[in-house]
Amino acid sequence: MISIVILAVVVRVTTPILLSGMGTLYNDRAGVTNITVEGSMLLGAFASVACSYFTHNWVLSVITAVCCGILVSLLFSLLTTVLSGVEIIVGLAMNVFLDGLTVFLLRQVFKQSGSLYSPEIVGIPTFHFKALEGIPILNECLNNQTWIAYFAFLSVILSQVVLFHTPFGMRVRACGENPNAALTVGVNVLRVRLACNLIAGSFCGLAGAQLSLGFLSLFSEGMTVGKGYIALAAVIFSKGKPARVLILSVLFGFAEALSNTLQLTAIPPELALMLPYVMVILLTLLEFKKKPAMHKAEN
Amino acid sequence: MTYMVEMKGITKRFPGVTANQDVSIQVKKGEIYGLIGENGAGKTTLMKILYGMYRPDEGEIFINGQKVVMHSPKDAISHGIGMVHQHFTLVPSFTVTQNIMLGRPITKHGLLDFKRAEREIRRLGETYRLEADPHMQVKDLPVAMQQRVEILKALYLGADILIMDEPTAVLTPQEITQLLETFHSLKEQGKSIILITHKLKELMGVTDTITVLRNGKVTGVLDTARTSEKEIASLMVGKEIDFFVQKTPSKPKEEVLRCEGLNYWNRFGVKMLDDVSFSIRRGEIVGIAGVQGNGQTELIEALAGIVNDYTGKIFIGDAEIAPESTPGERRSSGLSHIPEDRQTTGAALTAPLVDNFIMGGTRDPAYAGKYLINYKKAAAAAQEQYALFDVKLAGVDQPAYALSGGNLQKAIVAREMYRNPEVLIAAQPSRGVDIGATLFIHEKLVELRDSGKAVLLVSGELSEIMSLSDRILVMYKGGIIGETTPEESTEEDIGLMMLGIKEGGTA
Repeated sequence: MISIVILAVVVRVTTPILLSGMGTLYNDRAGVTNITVEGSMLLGAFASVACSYFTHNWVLSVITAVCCGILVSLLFSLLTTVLSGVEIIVGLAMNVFLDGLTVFLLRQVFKQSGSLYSPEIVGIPTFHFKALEGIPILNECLNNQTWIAYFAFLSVILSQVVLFHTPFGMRVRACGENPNAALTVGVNVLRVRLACNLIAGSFCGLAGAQLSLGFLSLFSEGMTVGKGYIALAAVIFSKGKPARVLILSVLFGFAEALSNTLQLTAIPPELALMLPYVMVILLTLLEFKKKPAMHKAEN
Repeated sequence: MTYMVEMKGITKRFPGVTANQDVSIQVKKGEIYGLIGENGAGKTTLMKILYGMYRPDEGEIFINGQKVVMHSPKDAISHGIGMVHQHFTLVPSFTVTQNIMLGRPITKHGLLDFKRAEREIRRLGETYRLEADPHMQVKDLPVAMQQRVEILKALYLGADILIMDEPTAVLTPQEITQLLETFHSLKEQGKSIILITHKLKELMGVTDTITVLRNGKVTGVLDTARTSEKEIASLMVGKEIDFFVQKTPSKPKEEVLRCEGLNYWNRFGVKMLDDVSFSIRRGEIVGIAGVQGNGQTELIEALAGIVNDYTGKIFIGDAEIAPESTPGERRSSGLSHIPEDRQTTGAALTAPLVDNFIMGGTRDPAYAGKYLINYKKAAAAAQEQYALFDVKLAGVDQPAYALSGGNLQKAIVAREMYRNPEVLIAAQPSRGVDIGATLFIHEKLVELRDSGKAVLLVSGELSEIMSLSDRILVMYKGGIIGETTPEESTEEDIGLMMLGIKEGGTA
């Protein structure tokens, strides 16, 4: 029942989590608590399907998704900096709003409720390497994936380099750890944080496109089902390390792939679907146990 | 002649206060310029204006004769101004190299070139005799070393004018000597230094010119060579002051705090307290002298219950205090504690003053019932007590961070005294506090003693220990190495004991 084929699913479902997580990592490192990951991804998923429906052009659709992510981040930045809104509240409100917005548009523009599926929608093409066909594992992992999936995994290395070996990355980390230190040597903290927000937004938009156009080419209401929050959890547990975001995302991706597979067995599907979320809670408990005594935590 | 820095008629108003009023200063090239004044006199505000962190409401700034307008620290840096803040602005997880080059990264093909940055830092270090290991993470460095990194950072960014805000507040006497030497070598290389301080002695020893501020106004510009500590002090507080607190010989009564065989290992497994035993009687002030890092902090933490994994016995009155009893339980048995660091443990900076006042005494019947706190009464009590301790505040609703350092310290002392403790642990009660406030706090400690309570004074300032204590215990490497009194020993004797060279008295 569980075969090596599951690896292909793992890579596919890990991609949105990993991408949005990697984007959010920049925010995390810069000291921004932006939880609009979920909303960005959802809007990205909707916008790319909508664009694909009208234009039949997957490139344009992906660009639209990224732009939507950037727009969400811009709005978030505006509300939290210029208008000094509280990050968590603004983030929550925007997530609820974006969830509603996609449902509203789906019903108004497409006169559909529940989901949008049409042969008009062009998905993102996948790559197939003939050379890999004979090699197990690599064949499952690397063949028949979208370029977004490759980019997601590459972005881990990219982020490692950007965050730890470029001036920009150094400024980002300084802004997160001691904004005053950054400020007093002439770093524009607000600008650095805005840049991180935009990176996060575009990654989340891209994740949304992968979600809706990467495999099934459809949009359904609330189709992110908390993937954004799972990505947030991955970032929080990663302690700011790109490699750990990768490991945790794959772990969550694996749980999701497993729950998809288990739905087909005798196990009640509701129970199987809980798997990724249960995983988050389990990790939290492990993390909690490791916390040292209060006065030592300050050091 | 053109000055390196000239600030003309600077006025800066904050809601409710005028921090600087028509202040002018002139700093020459290669000069060490002292800026002195009580807490809240406007020294730091003036320097933050020079460093581009605040915009003045009125006034002009000239650098080398050129009029400049600073919008941000970036502008100040580009005009050759560097500032080492009182509370360091370093990134803890960064290495020395990363911290220093944050403001001006050195790159190769777009990536950070750590090797070249390290070379440059080493070269800077050699030029100014400020060696620092470029690979160390800043969070692992001792305070004096962190300060050195801050100075290097400013020099790396091309500072010709170095602003130092209370640089000696966190240093041991030896480290202070070293810092002052650094100042001299910087001066020789043509750098100007603006030194903010309220320690008269070092000001006299190192500066060329001194400007005294009081309530945001300049009250005097003096040539260091032709002035005296007394003159400066009177300009600072506006009246002639007596340096030492007046007190009568102590009349100690029964024992009220006793500890027996305290041992404590820190989280690295280093033994920080080594079989510490002593007792304090009612009506006396016992001072603990020692070079920073010889177990004083750990002793306070063990007594106050901030750490619980020590061994040994502590008695307050007749009752034994179990190691696991919390700071709150110890407080209710009559122990009060003025913490070493007012910023992190002494106060909750973002909380209103009234909340800070209630902390540690939420069940005081003066304002608390069985379940609820009567905030009206609490605010009134806080107002009254703060007034008694001459805390300058706009209202008890304002957050603690709005108070200047000395005022906040007075507020903390006021709170701890309000609890009417049997034993008061006063850790560095006058750290970073001006003369007027120090004297005031000292008077209050003596008053407490005279009312038959006990005070345990821990201080890095030997002169404070000497002037206040009735008995002195000297700590060295976690143990009490000697006991003496201010009458029996001179500062030099105690200094030698602090270094473990001389044993004294009956330990």
